[in-house]
Amino acid sequence: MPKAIYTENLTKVYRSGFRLQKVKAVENLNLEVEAQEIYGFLGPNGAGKTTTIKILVGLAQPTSGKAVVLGRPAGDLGTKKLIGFLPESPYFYEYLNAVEYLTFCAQLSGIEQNRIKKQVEKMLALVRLDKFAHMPIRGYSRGMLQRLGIAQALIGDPELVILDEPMGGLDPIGRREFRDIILALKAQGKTVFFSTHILADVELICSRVGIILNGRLINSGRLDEILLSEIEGFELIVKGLDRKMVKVIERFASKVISSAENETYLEVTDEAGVERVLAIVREVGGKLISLQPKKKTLEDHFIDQIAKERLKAI
Amino acid sequence: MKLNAIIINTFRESVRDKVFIAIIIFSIITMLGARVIKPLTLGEEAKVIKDIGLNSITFFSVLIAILVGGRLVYKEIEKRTIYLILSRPVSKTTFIIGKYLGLLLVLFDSILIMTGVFYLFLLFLRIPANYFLVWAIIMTFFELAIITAIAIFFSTFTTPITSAIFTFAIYFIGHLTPDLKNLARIAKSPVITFMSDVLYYLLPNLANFNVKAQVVHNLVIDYRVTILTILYGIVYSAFIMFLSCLIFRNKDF
Repeated sequence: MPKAIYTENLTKVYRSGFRLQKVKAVENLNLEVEAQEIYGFLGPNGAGKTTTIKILVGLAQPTSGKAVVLGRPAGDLGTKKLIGFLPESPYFYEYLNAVEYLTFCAQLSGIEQNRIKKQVEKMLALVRLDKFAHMPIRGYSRGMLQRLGIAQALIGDPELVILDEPMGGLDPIGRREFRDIILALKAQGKTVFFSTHILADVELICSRVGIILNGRLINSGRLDEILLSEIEGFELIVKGLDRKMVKVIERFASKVISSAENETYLEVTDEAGVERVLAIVREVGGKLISLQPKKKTLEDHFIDQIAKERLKAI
Repeated sequence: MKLNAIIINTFRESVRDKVFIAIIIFSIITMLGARVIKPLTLGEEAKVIKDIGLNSITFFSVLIAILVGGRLVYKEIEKRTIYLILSRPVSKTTFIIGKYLGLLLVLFDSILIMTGVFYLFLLFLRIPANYFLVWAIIMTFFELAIITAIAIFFSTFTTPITSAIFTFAIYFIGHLTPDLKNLARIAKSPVITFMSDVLYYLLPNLANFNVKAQVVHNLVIDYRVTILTILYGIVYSAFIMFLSCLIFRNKDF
């Protein structure tokens, strides 16, 4: 099965301002997204996420490098037929209603005339806009607009769905609904590629992530691998130790967080330390209540990585 | 089908636009208002009313072509609605041509409405109306095809106001092209002769599309020239649209 998205040294240079200064929006980006995964594309504002996405969906031409989507060149009409796309804070034709708009989208996507009506109805039901189907889009709330955006992206059953900042402007309920839709897409065997800077969403639904900064990919991989490689220590809760024994194990712990009512909560830096603490606990007939690796959150990781890159730049 | 979808959407967009509706209402008021100046027509009421009628049809449809045409593509880029069109399997050429034909459909319909009102008005005033008048209106439509193409051409790379100013300037000079040719003939300086010649061949020759005076005064129309002028209109518009597509093809959004 070909990769859903594959880029090789993808570079986009814009010329901007009066003196046509060169601005590198994306620089030698190598991205690989497997089929049927949910891929989170992370980066702070202005990192090059939207530019990359625009190249993938054919709205912009790369200055150099290669972009392949579903085994075909990005931007080809045949490729675009297989992609659903939701831009950041999308605008729609306000003078149309949802049925007219989705019908228009379906026609442009090349869906056969006799299937259009059914597809439109299905999409409206999916995003719960069926009650407002004949209301002009002008009167829609922000959440309704975002739902219409999802409907237009999913019409025609695309293999790959590309979403640019889909959670922006949604309330917690809207975000949960959105996550459910994305997970449902994965269950149907679709690939979902989405950019965001809201990390909580990524931790909940993404199988793999890529972090982009200043147009370059600075880290990518499975979320648990990225985070596991940065275990900062272990947190233990043990029971049945008297004061004396607590003093003994304190030597192996980097920190005793609390010790009360027969329960001790401590932090140990490495696995050897954990073994020693456990041996003592067993010896005195104590009990292990819980043992957890202390992982960095994606947010910590993200901020660390960006700080590192910025230091390098200096 | 994709082209049709864009044509119909452009048509809907314009027809549901308040500017468009206002222009149509104004044109009808102007036509009917011609009745007021009856005392000034010195017995030539029929001619004056026909003249005002035909000219207001032209004037207001040119206004639609320039104002709506100049915003058509720009608005899609500015509001980013174009993202959701060009990310689908639609080529940029289909998009531009669809926008153009959509606006021509709008112009065709508005001319139809204005002409209908015009003929009813003539009927009401018992002024004999011949099919000659329709010739003038058909010629206007092909002139509009050129103006719309120019408005869209500018709209692919400038703002609506700049596009409107440029298109209006070309429309204005386009009606003076015979004078440019005369200037080239009588000018003493070879530079002026050269410049006038270049402008004469480069700018659309719109004066040929204006047969209003002939039809109002029941003069003979040379159909051979008329057909050639229409062909010229089609070729010129096609060429301008070709340039628009070339510019648009290399554009990033």
